[in-house]
Amino acid sequence: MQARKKYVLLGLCACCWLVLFYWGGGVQLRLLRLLTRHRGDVMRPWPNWTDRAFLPRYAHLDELQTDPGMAESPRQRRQAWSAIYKDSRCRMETCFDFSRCRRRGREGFRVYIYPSEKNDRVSESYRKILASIAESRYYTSDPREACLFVLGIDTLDRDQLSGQFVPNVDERIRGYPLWNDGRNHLIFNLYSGTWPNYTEDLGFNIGQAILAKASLNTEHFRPGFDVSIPLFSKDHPQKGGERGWLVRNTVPPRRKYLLMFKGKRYLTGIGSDTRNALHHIHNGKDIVSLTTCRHGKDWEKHKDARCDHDNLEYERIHKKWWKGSLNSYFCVYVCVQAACIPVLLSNGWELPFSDVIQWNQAVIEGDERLLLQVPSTVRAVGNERVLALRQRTQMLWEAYFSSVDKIVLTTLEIIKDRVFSHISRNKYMWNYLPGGLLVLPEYSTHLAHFPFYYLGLGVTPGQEFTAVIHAVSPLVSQSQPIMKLLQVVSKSKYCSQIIILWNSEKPPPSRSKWPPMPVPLTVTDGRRKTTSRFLPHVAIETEAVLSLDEDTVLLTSEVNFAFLVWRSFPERIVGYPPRSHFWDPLKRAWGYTSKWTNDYSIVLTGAAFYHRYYHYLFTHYLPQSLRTLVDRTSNCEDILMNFLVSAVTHQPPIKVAQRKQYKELPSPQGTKSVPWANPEHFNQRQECINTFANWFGYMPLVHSQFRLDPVLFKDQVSVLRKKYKDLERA
Amino acid sequence: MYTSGKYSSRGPALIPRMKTKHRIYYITLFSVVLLGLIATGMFQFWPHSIESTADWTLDKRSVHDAPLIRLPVSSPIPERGDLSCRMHTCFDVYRCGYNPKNRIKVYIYPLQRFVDELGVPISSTGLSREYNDLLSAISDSDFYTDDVTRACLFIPSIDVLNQNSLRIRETAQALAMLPRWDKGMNHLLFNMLPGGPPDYNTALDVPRDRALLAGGGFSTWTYRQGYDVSIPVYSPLSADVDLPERQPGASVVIPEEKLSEMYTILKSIPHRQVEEMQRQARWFWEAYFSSMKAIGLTTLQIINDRIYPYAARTYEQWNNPPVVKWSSVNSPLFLPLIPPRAPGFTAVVLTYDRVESLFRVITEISKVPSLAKLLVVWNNQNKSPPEETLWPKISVPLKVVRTKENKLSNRFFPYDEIETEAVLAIDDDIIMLTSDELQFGYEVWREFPDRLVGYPGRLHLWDHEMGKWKYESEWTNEVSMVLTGAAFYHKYFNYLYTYKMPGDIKNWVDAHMNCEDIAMNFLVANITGKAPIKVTPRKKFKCPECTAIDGLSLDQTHMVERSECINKFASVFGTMPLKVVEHRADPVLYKDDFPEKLKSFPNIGSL
Repeated sequence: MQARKKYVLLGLCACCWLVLFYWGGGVQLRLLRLLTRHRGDVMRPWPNWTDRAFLPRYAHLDELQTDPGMAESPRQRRQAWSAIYKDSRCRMETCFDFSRCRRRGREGFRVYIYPSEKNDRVSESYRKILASIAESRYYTSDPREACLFVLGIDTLDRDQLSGQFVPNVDERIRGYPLWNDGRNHLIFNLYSGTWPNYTEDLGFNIGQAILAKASLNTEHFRPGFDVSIPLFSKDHPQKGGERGWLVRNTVPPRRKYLLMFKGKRYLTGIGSDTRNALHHIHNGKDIVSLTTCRHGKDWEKHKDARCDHDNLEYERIHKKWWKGSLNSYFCVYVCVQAACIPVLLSNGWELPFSDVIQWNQAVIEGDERLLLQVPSTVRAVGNERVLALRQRTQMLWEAYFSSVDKIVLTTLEIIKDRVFSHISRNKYMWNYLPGGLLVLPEYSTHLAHFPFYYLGLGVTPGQEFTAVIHAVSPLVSQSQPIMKLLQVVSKSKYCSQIIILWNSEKPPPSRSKWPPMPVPLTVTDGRRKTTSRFLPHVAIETEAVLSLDEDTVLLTSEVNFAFLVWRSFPERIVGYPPRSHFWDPLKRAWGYTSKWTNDYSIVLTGAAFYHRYYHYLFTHYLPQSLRTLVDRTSNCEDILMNFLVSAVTHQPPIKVAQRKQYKELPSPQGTKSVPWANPEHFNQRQECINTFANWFGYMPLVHSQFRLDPVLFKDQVSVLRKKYKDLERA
Repeated sequence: MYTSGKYSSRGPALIPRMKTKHRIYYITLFSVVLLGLIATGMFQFWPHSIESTADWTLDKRSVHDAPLIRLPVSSPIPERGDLSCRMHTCFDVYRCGYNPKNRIKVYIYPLQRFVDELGVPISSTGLSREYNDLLSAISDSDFYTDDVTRACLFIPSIDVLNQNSLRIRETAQALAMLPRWDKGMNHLLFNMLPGGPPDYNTALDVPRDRALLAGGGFSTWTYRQGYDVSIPVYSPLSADVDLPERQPGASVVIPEEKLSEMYTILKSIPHRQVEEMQRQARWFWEAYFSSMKAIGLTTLQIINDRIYPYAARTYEQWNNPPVVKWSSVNSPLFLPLIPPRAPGFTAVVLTYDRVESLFRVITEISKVPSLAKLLVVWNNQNKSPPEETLWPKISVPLKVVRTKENKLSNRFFPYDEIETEAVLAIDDDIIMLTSDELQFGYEVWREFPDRLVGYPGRLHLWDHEMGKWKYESEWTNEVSMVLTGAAFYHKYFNYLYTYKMPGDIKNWVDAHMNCEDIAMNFLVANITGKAPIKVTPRKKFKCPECTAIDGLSLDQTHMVERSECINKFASVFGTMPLKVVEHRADPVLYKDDFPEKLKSFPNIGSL
């Protein structure tokens, strides 16, 4: 029967299949693999070789131990290299003369500006750059002590078609006796070449000079040598600068538009491909691309079908949102200030200050070749990231871009960090608040020594403080306020030492005249300068400093409470008597008041806790002119300290509870008559505020409406419950 | 004709099957037996057979089994490395494409033994142990793909770790012969000992077109910034490493000119810093340089970060040892902003059915100048909220949200109706807070937008006898929590509470109907590292006669449960994030001898 045959056949097949299964697994697996994977190559992970234990080592030990370069000294090697790699491959080691910067720290890094000649036209922007350098703490007028040289010739605009183009630069710089093929010179440039190619040609040979240039191309950028700077307009403020536009952290952080492109659509030339492709991602809802074809004179020759419609749309919205035309590089800075998150698709653009700024924490970088993936990439960015990116852009804007001063100083500090690489800032300092310019590496290169990074490092401030008492009156009696103060302060369990800053005309009394104390007492000579109270004395070993006037009246529990508050706010000033500033619209100037008010922006440093780093900043960051003003008038040092700390933190100081109102008691005998009774003293302070605000370029002081009291302060509960009951005694 | 033929062929086959029933029975029986047999076979042998065959094909092979490839003398040589190469000029990013995981796919060429026409191998060592370790590690990693068409990065199996063992010209020819070489595009070479006499170059001399080079001993000239990867020179016997990148925090870089000052410079580094540098260096070594595996995977991660820059690891992720990562905090609201007063705050009142008390609370809050909107979260599913006409008439918008379930977490949901940054969470029985107290609380919150700013203060304590945490609601000198029965906070924390609360805390709170406020305090303190702010002396909130622990709180079991919450949360968070402080915020002129009418916030209650 046919059917039976069929079954036999089927049965046989099944048997074969089973046999194959039990004994021919390998064959079968291979068969299966072939079936599941259609491509012919047999692919599998890297094999576990049976003889892997017998494989040879990649190198003999002696090969690893002899450094091939050891035969010649590093200096010789470098000279050989610099011969091979000419100017275009400059590195600090080959094109920079370190011997000019031999002295340590700030002293070793002096910048000299060539005097500009009479008929030189210097653009507004370059004038601002030079002014920033001349005002900086690195400026020197003596070329012999200079480490870095800056040209007096305006090299910002090297577009030959531009009105600010300076001809014959080559001949002139070669005439400079100190030019030395550009060694140790710094050249600023914003524009080079012209449309359509915008080449990087400056029109003169910069030789071995460091180029600080806007919109640098990565291919021409000499890493670790050149500095990419942001593009800025001639209206960019010299100092201070506008704060970022982010005032609220709204949640969800989304806005109406997810992605926006605004700009010229070059029909030819560089960037035309990407810009032409932009309309593919435009969806008219949350992704918009506004482009115009108008550029140069002959755009109509190349115009395509989309141009007319695009131009109309562009004009309509452009008028509404933006003033003036914006260069695409410039766009990024507007965007950064406005707390948008730039999405950068510019391949080959060396981002400004890329040496030190971690741009991937502030912008979304993409490859312009993958333009069409940008919407999905951007949509995939979570709320948390958007919130962080936005704040980061603001932080960068305020720290490095908002004024010409900041741009120029950042450039100088980057070069200085390279010259003194063993005392330089690390990336953390550059990228976290308050930013690199306010972190002086000469003070320390260790994060835990600064008041800003406790939380980031997961550590808490130290448990002790140093009291610095500013003494001006001679010691005549044992009942003088300073004696009482010494006892009160030394009784605090957090006090580790007391330093008396002797600023009296009489010489300091002998050691035996001071009362015996449980903590070490040091007397140092203040040389009768008011600013000496903020000198970074080496004797101060604790992070916290308690700054005191000799006639301050305090209780030990007040000191203890304020110190504990300071440990919660180590970056701020924590003090007792508050003062306030206000804007006087009639005088069109800042005013100062010592009246009792509902808010305050200053706490007097006659009794205040703060981090010892502020001593260093006060002495080395602030300009000599302001410190001279303080010394000349013997006044305003407390206001200046408040300005400084608020400029660093963007926060108000903190006032804590105090038993009695400060210095309202009739002054005891033996002390000098109180200077603040003098109206002249008050006027000086008014003037100081305006002078300081002028130097900072804005008003850094911030108002606060609260003071911090002990938790049970003046509550109607048993006194026995209260830890700080002394504070409530009248 | 054709159609009829079709019919005839079908006919006979169909008819017999229809006829005999038992035939179907046979077929079924037979198939069942057959299937059974197959199944047993599979069950017994399948898993083993895969392993054993894998062993058999992959492991039971020697390096010497690799196919031998003879290089013709005239075979093409790649160009020398192009020093101007950057990712956007020499790397084909299209191969990597968009990838939801943002992870590059890496393909490793199968091992081949290259010899020249005379049969002399191109390398004196062939595959070295280190290179084998490196390739095995990569092939075991998530980067690996065995599909050459999906790969973004290709790694040749030709070992070029040590240039001294290579015949340069032939190695280059071998590279060019790789099937996907394509001018070295997207190929990665690992080299640790470059150069040789007489030039002692600092980069591999083998011509390699556009291939990326992960090399040890680069000088700043031969290193193509953002393209090549600098790696340490692995030494099989010692723990000696050349630093690949300048790592501040782990090394002191002193320029040669300062050599004479070296002693002074090193002496000037404080002891604490030296210890930390040692710890940092140790961690770098362990995480990134200690083995060929660490070096290989680190290199791939660096390249991965360049290709997907928007998903790149941060500086801290690269540099912080786990100890620091664990204890450090990076607040999500780190920018020191004092938000403007104008937008005001949104009050969110959670209520169940205490309508009378709720209306009193609403009337009180509506007097606060900065109130922008009132949101009532109606948590009662059995009862509808009162009709619109019955609600108190207030000057700001009032919205009622009805919830689907009576859960405590509803109070912390980031409702779209909350349009302000500041949220005031308030219970429906907090009737004693004055308008001045609330307005002052909002002003304090503006100065601390990243903290909980609230009225009822509480404390956690370590109970030495029991060896665990204890909840304290007595009036103490310290505060570590503020209850969200009346507290201001940033709306962002609603997101975190709803979507990012660690472990099962959120469900646990909903199940126990308790401790949502403690959970919020843990969450905020953990992410910001900061203590909450207690504002004003106010300690009684519900009625003047009540003690601090009134209503629900009186219950002793309630206190026990609250303590349990603290212990539970501390174990989920793996740490005790709460910070204890001894201060509270009062208006600047609070209780000062000053005319009350000139104070901004005169009406601050005493208890």
